[in-house]
Amino acid sequence: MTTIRRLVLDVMIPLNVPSSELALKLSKLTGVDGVDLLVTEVEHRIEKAKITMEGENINLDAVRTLLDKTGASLQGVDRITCGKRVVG
Amino acid sequence: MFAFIKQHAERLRYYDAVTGMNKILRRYFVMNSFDGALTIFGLLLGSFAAGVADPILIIKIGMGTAVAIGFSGLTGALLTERAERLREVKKMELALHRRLDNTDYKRAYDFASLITAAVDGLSPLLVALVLLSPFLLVPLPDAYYYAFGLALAFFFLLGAFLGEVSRESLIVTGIKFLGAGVLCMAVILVIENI
Repeated sequence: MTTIRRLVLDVMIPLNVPSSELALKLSKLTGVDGVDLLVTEVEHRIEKAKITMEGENINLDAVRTLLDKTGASLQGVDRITCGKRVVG
Repeated sequence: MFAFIKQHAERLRYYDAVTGMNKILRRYFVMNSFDGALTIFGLLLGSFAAGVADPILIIKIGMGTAVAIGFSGLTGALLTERAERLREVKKMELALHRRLDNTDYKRAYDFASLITAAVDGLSPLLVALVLLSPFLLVPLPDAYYYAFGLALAFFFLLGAFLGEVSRESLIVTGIKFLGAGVLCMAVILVIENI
């Protein structure tokens, strides 16, 4: 069975939602070992961020649901790494 | 039990981070409890100057007034806060290009509106209960003096609380609020004696 081992997401986050909180919540999801959230742009009401997640078995639906619930907006999945080992 | 409390504390912290409700609650608490205290203080001064000697009558009038202030605060804050916060959410929806219904983000704003209204409504009511309590416990005319003492002490404490918020001298801000109460007392007594 193959699993998602790395995800890079392009996300918009409301400025008043602490991005640290969002990163912590994502890191607590089952199958996630680590999260890196890099703010790439700050606008009037939102900030744009690249979120990189690594783990043994990342559940994309759970990630989507959490982002949705928090009020963030998933703009796209920039990179997805699957399989028995991480390539690249 | 501990996990339950921790979970709710975390949620409240998140709601506060999103909405900044802590500051607004503090402001509403001070404004409306001062409103309530000053109104009841004025009512008691008027009753004292007019020589009202029936404690039950004073309690009834005081509670009626306090409920009216509380209700005004509750409905006013609920409607205005809800409108303001809905506007914020709509602006954010435009910025994010998505709807925010059924999200923690929207729930944070709904919660902030409700809790603000509750604080705005309940604070004058609670203050009124405290200021009117001597009329249940102490015979007249001493009850008046206890109530006046409580009111003046409350003005000072409220000012000191604001001093703590603004990191100023607690004594100075306390005296400013106390001064407002004393000024109000002087004006009422002058009017009553005309």
